[in-house]
Amino acid sequence: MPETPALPVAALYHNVDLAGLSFETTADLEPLTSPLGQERALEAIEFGVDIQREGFNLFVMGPNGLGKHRLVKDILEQRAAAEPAPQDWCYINNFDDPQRPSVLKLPAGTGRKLRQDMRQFVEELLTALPASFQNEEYTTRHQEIIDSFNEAQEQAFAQLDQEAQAQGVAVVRTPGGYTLAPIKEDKLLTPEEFEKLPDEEKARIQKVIDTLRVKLRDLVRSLPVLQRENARKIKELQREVTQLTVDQLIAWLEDRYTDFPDVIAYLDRVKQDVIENAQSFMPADGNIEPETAHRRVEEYHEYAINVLVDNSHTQGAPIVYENNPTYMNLTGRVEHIAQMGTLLTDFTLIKAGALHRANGGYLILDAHKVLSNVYAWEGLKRALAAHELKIESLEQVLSLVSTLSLEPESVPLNVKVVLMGEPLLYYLLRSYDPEFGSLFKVEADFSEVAPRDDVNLQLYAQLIASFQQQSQLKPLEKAAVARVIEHASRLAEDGEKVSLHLETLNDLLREADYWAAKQNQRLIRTQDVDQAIEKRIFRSDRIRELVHEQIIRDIQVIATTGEKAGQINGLSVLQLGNFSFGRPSRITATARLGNGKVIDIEREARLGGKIYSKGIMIMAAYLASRYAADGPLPLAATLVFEQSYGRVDGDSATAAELCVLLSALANLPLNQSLAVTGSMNQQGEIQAIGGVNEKIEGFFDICQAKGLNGQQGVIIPSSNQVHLMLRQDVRDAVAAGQFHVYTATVVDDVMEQLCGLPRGTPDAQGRYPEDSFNGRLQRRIDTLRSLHRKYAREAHADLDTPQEQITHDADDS
Amino acid sequence: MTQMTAKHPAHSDSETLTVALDAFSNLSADVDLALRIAANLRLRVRGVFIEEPSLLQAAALPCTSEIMTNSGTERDLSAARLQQSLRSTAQRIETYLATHAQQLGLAWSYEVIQGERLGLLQTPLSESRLLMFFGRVHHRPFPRRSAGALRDILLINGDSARLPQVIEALTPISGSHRLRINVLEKMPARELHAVLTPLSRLPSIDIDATPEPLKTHYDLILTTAPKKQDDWRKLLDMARGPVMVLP
Repeated sequence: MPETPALPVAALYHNVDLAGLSFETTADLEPLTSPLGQERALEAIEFGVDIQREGFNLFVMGPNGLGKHRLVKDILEQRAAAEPAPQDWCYINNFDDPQRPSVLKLPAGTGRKLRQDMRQFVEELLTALPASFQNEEYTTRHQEIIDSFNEAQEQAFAQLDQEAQAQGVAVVRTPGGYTLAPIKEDKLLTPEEFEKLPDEEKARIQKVIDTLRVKLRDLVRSLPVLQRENARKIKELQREVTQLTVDQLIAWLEDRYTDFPDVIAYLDRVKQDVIENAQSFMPADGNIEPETAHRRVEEYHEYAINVLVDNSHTQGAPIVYENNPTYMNLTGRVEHIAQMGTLLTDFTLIKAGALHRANGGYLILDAHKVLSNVYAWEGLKRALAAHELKIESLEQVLSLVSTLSLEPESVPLNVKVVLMGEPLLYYLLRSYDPEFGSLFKVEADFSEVAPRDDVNLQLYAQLIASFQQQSQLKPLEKAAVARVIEHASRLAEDGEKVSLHLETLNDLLREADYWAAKQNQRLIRTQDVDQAIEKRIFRSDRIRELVHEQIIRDIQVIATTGEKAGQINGLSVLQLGNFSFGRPSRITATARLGNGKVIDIEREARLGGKIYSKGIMIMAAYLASRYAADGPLPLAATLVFEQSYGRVDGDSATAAELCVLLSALANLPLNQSLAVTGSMNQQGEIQAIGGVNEKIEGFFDICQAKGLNGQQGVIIPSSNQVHLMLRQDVRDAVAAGQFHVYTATVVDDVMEQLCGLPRGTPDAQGRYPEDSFNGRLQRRIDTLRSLHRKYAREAHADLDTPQEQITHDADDS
Repeated sequence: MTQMTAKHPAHSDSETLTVALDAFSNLSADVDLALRIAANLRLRVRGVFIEEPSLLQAAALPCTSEIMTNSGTERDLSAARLQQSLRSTAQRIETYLATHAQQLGLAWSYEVIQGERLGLLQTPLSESRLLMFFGRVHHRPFPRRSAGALRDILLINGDSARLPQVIEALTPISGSHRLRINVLEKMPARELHAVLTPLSRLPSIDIDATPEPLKTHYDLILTTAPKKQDDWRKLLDMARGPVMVLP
């Protein structure tokens, strides 16, 4: 039997050399100040943050737990501190079109000052304006206008009355107006007296009355003109008084904001509006109560200042992290108040979104959350592309409603957005969203692993020290640090690399600290780290226990001893949350004369995934090209994962499947003490697979439970050797010769190990020796071809020959 | 004068404020003022609606028609319609008076009489503690003033013991804490002194005794009953605001 050497124990685990760690405990180490292993991402972030060009927003990609948020925040904070605080953004009333509030930009902190100043101004107006209309000067002038009107009116009536009286008639006031009536000696004539008058006199009186009536009517009709003129004068007086009062009150505001032309323009407009609406400042009951003016200011919100973004306390550029990036939380909203069954709003109810708050600075968002919220992604892109923020309700954007609402003026936008997410999201957006590439030109790709070289070893130790000191854990002794680093290699699935999942590392340290404290230890030791790892596994291990129990109790049938043709132990990995474990699976094959088809039962039952199916096709192609290159392969074969009722995917069992198929074809018994894992290509080369440590340990656990006999082991691709970081108990069994790990480069390596026969060397005709497994395969295929020809001939003959000929042939035989 | 109706029994006149109203009265201004003064002085209120016969007379003449104030249009002046209008006005005033007097807790009465306004002075009604008339020709209600502003009150023949009380009663109503008493030039100096001394003890009274020509813009005219009818007529014709006759 050919001897393929098993891997030595040293090859099964990459130890950290303690001599390479120049400290005794982590208390001796300085914390790490720069991120480990993230040079590419770091450079990208620094570049993306620094460049001030359109579209250079960032997408920071990597799985959770790599410390993306922390790194981005640190870089942004450092940069933002050196940048000036951005301006305040305010909304003010648009007096010409209140439905379209105007934007006002002011230096940081000035917004709230202006708001307070306007409140004070309105409060002063509430006292000063009514007082100005009740002071002596105004009342005197007001009365003069009225008196003048009254006098003009009186004079007109007096004149008419005088004219009337001269002709024996008087102007008499009635409840509805006026009338003319004859008089005598300053007294109205009674009807009886009038009747007694001569007809001439009556006629004369009537004629006078008729004439004067016209004049009276004209006079009455001219009164509205006089009244209008009177009202105009009063209004002019009020305007003048108001102007004077407002000018005096607003002067200090104009002085204070003289350097802000927009504010001056606004104050000018406020002045005009106050003058036009002076009456609204008059108390209804005429009582001026200065003590209530403070409360009444709220009623005059048309003069309020809505400070949308107040940067008075902002130091440097703002850094905003929006944890709930809905459309409104990003782009702002217009709120409404329910009143008497209707919804009311005005510019004071405009609320800022995260983009407003981050304007002039940086906005950090979780990409998945943005994409999960209706229209948030579209809203964000729209704002970035237009460089302005327009506040619209989602209903308006989607044209779902046509009710009247505010249309606030857009706010110019200057913000750097940092999206964080999984790499898959980035690549999907890049492929399917045509706008994405124009808006997020910088990708910062976080690495999940770093090389485990001498430099990084020291840095990793410092990283451990950083976590230890930040979380105020016990210091780790050197050996514990080494153990942690080795575990990081295990997590990286590579003995030459370390995992950069900082969250997982931090959790491990904290758990180790816990176990050390339980033992009243001053330092965290290797055994504390081991215990943390074991306990964590134990907490997640229930399903694995059940699966292994099924095998150990032969409910799930797996052979770990003996030989059998057409049967092999394959290996798979099950992932449950953040815990994965390996388990063996029995793969069987049958082979008979057929038409060259390899039937994969998993695929036929639609339980095989696409990658699995691809692997089967590659295997079948290899089989045909290797053993039937010059002739047909009259084979009908079937393959199946026994007792597997779930979906099967991946190609890591391809090598095992080929071997069991060859075994079935040539009736070659395979060693059941071994399990096989490995992908293969059409050339028969064994390719690397994932989860190699879990797979080996999975088979080992079963063999150990059933009883190690010194024959058991696992065959893995040689390219997976660098990934080996096996458990201590597996290494101990290997060291004791109770378990073995073999590597294979080509399929023939695997077959030799499994069937115990050499592969053989072909002669000039391509024929392998009989005592090689390839030779036995060739002979079997030859037999199948002969049978195939024979049955084909017979089938053909049956078609051509009459019935008595067939009988005759049969008698001859 | 003919007393047409006496809606409620008259009260003792010494504790009564009688307010003369007619077709040209302003309900909310004139009646309110009278009620508030009465409330401050704890007086009963007697409303007297005066139907001037001259109006009805004019309406009965065949040659007369009415020119409407608001539109300038002309319509026949019907005595019946005018009578109806006067009655409606009288009823409206009574209802207003009743409602607001009750709200203030004041005893009240109301009468409708026929006659001239000035004739009221020759009746027992003139012996009321206070008698109020209102300007007719160009009526101006008692205006509101802000605190600190002056309110002009013309004092004519102020020789009345009730004067300080009336002034005090006016202070909370006026809305102003400062009353400027203008004194008509014709008052003799000794009388003036007798009148002004008690007034000067009142807080927030600003007395301006400098004689000045009679104007028409006083917020209120306070007087004892002039002896001459002509003076009365002139006073009532001139006054824009209320005229209060003190006993």
